[in-house]
Amino acid sequence: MKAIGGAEGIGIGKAYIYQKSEINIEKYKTDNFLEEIDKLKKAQEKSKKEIEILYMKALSDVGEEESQIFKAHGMILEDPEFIDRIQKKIKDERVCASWALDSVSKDFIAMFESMDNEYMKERATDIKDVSSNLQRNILNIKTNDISLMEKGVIIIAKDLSPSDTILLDKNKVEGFIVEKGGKTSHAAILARSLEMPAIVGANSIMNDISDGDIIAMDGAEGVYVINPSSNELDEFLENREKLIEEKNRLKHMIGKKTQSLDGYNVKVEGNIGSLDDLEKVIENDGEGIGLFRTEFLFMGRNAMPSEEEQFIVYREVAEKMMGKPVVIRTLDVGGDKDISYFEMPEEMNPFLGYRAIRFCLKEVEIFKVQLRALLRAGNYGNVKIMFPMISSMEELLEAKDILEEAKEELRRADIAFNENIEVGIMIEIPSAAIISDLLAKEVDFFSIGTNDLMQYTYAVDRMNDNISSLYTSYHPALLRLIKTVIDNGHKNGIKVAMCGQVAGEPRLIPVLLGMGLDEFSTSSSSILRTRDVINNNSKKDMLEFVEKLLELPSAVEVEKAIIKILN
Amino acid sequence: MKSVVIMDDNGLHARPASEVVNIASKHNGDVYLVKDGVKCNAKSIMMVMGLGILKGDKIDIIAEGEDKERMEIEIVEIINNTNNK
Repeated sequence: MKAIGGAEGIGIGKAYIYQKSEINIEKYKTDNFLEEIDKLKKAQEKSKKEIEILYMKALSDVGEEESQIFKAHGMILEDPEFIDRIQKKIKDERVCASWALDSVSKDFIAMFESMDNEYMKERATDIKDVSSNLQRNILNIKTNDISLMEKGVIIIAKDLSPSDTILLDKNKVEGFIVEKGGKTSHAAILARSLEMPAIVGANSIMNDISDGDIIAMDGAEGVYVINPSSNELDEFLENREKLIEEKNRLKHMIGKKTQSLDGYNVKVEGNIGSLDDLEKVIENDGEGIGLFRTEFLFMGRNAMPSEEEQFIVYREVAEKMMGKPVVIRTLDVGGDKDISYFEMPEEMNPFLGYRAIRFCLKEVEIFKVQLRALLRAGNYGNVKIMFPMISSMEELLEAKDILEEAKEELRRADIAFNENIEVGIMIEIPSAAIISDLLAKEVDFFSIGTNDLMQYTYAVDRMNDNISSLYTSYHPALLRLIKTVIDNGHKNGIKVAMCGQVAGEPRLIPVLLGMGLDEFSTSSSSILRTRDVINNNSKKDMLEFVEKLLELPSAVEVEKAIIKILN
Repeated sequence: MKSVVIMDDNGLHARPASEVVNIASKHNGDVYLVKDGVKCNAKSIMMVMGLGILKGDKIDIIAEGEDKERMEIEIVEIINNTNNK
């Protein structure tokens, strides 16, 4: 059966059907509204304590970020609008507390469920959770103790509230499958943090399953089998073993050197576009930041970020990376991004247009603000400046001149900065790749941006479904350009890095290693796997292979040859 | 009154919404968030979540009473911190 993957992992166990008992709400009238309001108050206090306990458990089981759900629950419990309305109902309509609560909750739940946005719809779950809790305390009903169950179970339920999920005993529960919900539901989010397999959106599973049935589930694929045959079971068991092995192997990569089988050291780094990304790179043992995209600082605002604002962010990244290299790319935006205060003209061909370094070279004052911030941050770590979209020597020299002007301004104002900050460029435009031997004399490093390099080289828009098959990392032209750039860089004594997607592709990493790439910068989630691949290949062997590879005429043949040699 | 645009992919979700409500609740005076002309009590998590503030939305922050400027600035900061993550 196929539903929606909620949290990855493979779970095998006995079905345990979890049904929440329906609470019967009786509506009765009473003139004694003060007593009812007091009942509500006492129930609030009880619930508050219970939610606090859930919060503490979440804090220790899944960490701060995810446990915030329970903080929000605590707030709903004390929400002035929510509580006021209930009290008002009790007083004005002379109804009992439990009915007033039920009625007001239903209104709020309906309001959230009617919203278009998935995320907002999920908030209805929060209100339901808190209301149930409150209701049980008003009516003095005991809860279904979800923690009372034997080992090796897979929980099957219509839905699991955050409270239910956090109470699941990881030692007893192999995973869960729920009928409702999507990827952003709390249950799925918590499952991911608990590292417990989960499947959501399994409509009608409650009908198909009985307590005690054997279930095998693949949380990543959203696939589950009820009472699998022994063949099916074997397959699941095998896959589970593989997943666990892979996970452990990757964890072992943390703290290891990135070194090929024949002893060549290279660096594996992370690409970031926000401070959140930074945390993940550090967690995954990135040896530096190969690409720090600065656009997020400029977006969603009414005015440009000041030099001070930018400096504070760049400094934070530099400091957190503790001496490891941080390559910061200067502003790379065009008319396609919404930066209203820059007044960029609408263009027919924004990707071939007035953007990135071209914009900066015209708007010198704007450019200098960023450069000054980068120069100053250069004193707090190993910061390097990188210019995007360089297509000619003229642009590079002009950019360097402006950088010198920025340095002079800081000198005159007696503001400290790194005089010897390294400066490099992205090689993402074919013309730059072709004259890379000349450009190499003017910079401290190259970083190959394969995403755009591929588009410009093959004249293909990767977003265009009609031609997306032409956008391939195995094109001989790309490989030849990469080799040329690396060779030219090395001839002139500079290091060559890569920050495009290709740097993290397991089949191409050995090829790049063979070509002599010095630094591989990928998304944080690929860092460990990239190191793993590099450490399991020999650079010399791959170099030999590469010489032959570059003679092949088509992407199809290149791919075939690579698959063959890697097996 | 201050205005701010939400940039976080998740809009004003549980964590920052909670922070905003937390701090607004400490204020000695009314605090409102306004989105598309709809005004809500910033001390109520339900009302704030009920506004359904998403990425790209511009909201106004209005505080009244003593130290209202300070309260408005603090709320803007919470949102900017989330935006810049």
